[in-house]
Amino acid sequence: MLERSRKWIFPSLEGQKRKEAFQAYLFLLPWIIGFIVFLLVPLGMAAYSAFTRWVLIDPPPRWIGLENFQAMFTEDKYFGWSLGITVKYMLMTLIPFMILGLALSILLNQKLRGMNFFRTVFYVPAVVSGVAVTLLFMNLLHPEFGAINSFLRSLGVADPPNWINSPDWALPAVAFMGLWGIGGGAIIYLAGLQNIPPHLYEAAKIDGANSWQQFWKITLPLLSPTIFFVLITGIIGSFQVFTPAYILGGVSRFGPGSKYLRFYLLHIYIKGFQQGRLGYASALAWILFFISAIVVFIIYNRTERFVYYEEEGKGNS
Amino acid sequence: MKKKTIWLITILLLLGLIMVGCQSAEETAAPEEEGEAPVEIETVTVTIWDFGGQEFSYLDEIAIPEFEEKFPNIKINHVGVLEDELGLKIETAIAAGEVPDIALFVPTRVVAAGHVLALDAYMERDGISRDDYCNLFQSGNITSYGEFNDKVTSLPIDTNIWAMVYNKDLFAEAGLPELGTDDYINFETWLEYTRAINKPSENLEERVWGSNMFVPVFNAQNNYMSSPFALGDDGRSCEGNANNADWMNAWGLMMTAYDEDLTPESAGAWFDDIEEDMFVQGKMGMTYSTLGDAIYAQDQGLNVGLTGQPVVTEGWSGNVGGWNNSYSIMAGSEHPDEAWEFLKFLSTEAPLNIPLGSDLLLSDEAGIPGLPCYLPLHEQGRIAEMIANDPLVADSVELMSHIVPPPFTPDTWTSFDEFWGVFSMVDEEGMTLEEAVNEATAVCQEATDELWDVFDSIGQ
Amino acid sequence: MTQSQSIDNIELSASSPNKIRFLRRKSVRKIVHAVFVYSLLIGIGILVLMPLSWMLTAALKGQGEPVYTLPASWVPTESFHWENFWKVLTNENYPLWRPALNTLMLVVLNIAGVLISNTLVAFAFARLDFPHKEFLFKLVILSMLMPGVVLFIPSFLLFNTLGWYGTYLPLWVGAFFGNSFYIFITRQYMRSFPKDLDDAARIDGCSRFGIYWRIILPLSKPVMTLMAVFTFMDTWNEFTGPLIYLNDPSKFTLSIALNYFRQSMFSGREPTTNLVMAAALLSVIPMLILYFLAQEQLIGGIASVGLKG
Repeated sequence: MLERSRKWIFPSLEGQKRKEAFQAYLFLLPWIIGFIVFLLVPLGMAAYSAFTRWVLIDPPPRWIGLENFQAMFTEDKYFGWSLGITVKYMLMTLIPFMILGLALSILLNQKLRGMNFFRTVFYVPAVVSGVAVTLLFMNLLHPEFGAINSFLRSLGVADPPNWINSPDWALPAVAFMGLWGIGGGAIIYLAGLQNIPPHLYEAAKIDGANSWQQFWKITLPLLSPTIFFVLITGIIGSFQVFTPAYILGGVSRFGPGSKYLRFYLLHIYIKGFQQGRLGYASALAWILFFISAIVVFIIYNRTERFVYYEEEGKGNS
Repeated sequence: MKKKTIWLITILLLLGLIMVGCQSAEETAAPEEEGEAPVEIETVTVTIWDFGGQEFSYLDEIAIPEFEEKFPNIKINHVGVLEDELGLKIETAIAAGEVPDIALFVPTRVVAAGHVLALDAYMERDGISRDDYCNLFQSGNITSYGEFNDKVTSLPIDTNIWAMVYNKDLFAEAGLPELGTDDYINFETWLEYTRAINKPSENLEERVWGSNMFVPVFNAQNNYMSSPFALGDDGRSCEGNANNADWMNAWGLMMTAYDEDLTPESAGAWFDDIEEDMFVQGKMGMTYSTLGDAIYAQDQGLNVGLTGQPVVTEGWSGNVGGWNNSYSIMAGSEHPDEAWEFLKFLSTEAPLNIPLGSDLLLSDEAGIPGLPCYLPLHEQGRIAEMIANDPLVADSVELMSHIVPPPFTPDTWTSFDEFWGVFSMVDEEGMTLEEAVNEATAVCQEATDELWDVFDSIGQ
Repeated sequence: MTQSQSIDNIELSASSPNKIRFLRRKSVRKIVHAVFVYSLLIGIGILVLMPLSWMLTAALKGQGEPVYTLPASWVPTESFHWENFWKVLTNENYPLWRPALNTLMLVVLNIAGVLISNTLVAFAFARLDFPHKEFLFKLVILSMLMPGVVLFIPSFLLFNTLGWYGTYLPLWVGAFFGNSFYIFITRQYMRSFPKDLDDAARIDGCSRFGIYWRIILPLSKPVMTLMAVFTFMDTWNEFTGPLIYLNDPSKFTLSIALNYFRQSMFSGREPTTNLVMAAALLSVIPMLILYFLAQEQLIGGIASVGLKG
């Protein structure tokens, strides 16, 4: 009976393949259900709402066609601006973070004593809550009283930057915050590094390879899936910066906030929840989705061929 | 290793499920709404939402116990929600259909959508008149003040002045006259005084700032140091800022203070905790604050005085701003009558037993930052005594009468947000002051238009 | 001859093979290597620890003491109000112990859900063949790009319809239905094992679930640890969900309680920065414990693989 129902579902497959397909879908079931219920359904609503004028406490949403999208380009002063900030941030931080993260994890992967201790030390900043971190750095980065500027002054820097309120230094300030927590991401690299069989290194050493060659020929290729993953998620993540922007960008009443930190997601929050225009916020979010989808797919297609997978050899996806 | 992991996961999972079970058991066991106790008393639970924490701890420590003693059949459930999130939480609660009975600072669009009860009928029944309340109550700005569309939509527990608190000793040292409630200063005078008091120094120990930054727009925000109000007489137009000579003059003077490094904000960052700290430590000549803070500073040994803030428009009498901590009864409440009892109590009786607390919350004690807005209380008990005996309190009563309630606007904070960036724009981006103010005005206008757009569309 | 002289001797004869052999000696290289690594780590470590140290200093300040001083205090020197930590846990207004327990429960549930669902799904993508595989995986990636903010209100309405408002359910049930992010990394990880493993097991008569359970899953400990650690972090710090869905204070989570401490500055109210920092430091501890334990897994994970070809 089971065989017959499988035949019905997968008519084009034969015997074993059919069984495999059926079982595979069983494995996939949680995700499929989740995808439909928790993603597609709300997504449908979200898609619809992008074309409406919708205030949460005054339902129902009212259809207004493309007005939201028009407003983005004609009326919204911060639309382009916030997109710019977000992209700038991504460009500024992605590659440095990846390189530094990799370097750090290689350091932490050395076979020396006390690495556990160091790994934990570097991990701590990553687990301090975003709110506390932002507060912390807000304090440290205060132009006049902050510890960082007073340190810079003691080094002889006459006019240390205004950090959060400065057009040039606001994003770097947020980048510092992110950099502080880089040990948290190192754990991903560590997992990847651990995955490389040590006998490869031994074999290489026997063949006379030095550390540098070992790195290029063994570490990097075998780590490429991890690096690739970090790249993709890094891009996605940088589009979705929120907490520091929320606290420093002036939505929460921590002070007037800085327009130089008006990340796109913050802009969405302000339009949607502060101003109450849920339809417009939804439209903004869809734009973000499309942009990040395009960026990720471009990168995915162009770099996937560099990624090496163990069970298939180079070049397949 | 593998077996152990399996066991670990199973145990953790079981633990988790047990805890979930316990939680739900707890809530079904504890009587929530109409708990039917076997005895005659049928208790009703009234839920009240505000910012919670130390700021509103007077509810837990004083007001609620007193009320529950008076009304044994009503239990008050006090929930604190972080200030930034309270509006959002109220709105999602409405969408979910499960609202609290009473809430603080209900957002204006929520009121406009009719989710708040009009209290006039209750007031009339219980002999409370609008005229019993301080002048800040009679205003169209419904977040903090009481009325909308001519209906009473909230009652205040207190009224708080935004006045200028100054350090008398620093003033005397700089050879400046003492200022009282009859004195009116403009921004020129302010700048002059600030310069006189300011003592630059590399060392934080010795550094003294002239004043806090009295950003024209902030002062005008809830507070109306000019005519017209910074958002115009209809609350819709930001234009007045850039096109008004008085405003530009005030901005110019502020910019000068900024450039001369006379205020802590001059470094371009705005961190209130540092600033307030500075005043209480005797390192700042003037600041704007409430009665409660003035009293607190006095308790710390400072010699303080109260006066009005600098005005933008010469001759304008409204040199004091204010806000009220006001609570509304939600329309979806299931126990409006009981909620009313508590609200009435909070507004017309409770302040007699709640001490004045510092808005700075530097002390551990519960308190409200100002006097009650319900004027009959000024002649009773502890409050009458304070007014009679403490010059600061008496001054604050006088200053209360200076307040000119502003025209209604949906959300002054959001409207004025951009203006904070003016100094940065001049300093960092090299704009002229006019350009910066114009730029900020444009953004202000856009934000205000949007707010009104949403507001006007409600109920269409 | 003194030590330095002997070294001089070696150096003087620069072209001498002795010097080169000395430097090439394995033990010397090892020491140089160790010194290099350690000094880098210590150097960076200090930079990383300094903000934490500042947090500690702030956390130990007494009520009303200025947290900001010029010059800044990086290390606690004067104030040692250790009772702040206790205060944060047991004070009247917002004692942290209960929210901490609530959050812990949510964390356990979420980790369980994440580990179970994502490994199952990733297994299918990584080790099995089925029609539309490519397409479905592209859907997975696509759904990763969705900014959560888009779905927030619609999800909220969905949960309302299900009647889950006011309960913990919206905060953990989702974990049992997979997360595209984790599916992605787990699949990448699972793909790195040779296909021969599965084939060998099939030949021995193992069911597909058996392959999953007995072979792939144990091998995936590193990535499972990763997911557990990240889930812990996310759940521990999640704020908006608990804020919106929970109304009963006894159910509130740590992030809400933590955020409570930072009160609005704009109304002139002083945030109790010292307590905020104390609370933040405390809340780091459970995650540290987990991480420490997790490290065992990470290290022990692959070392015993012993694959043949």
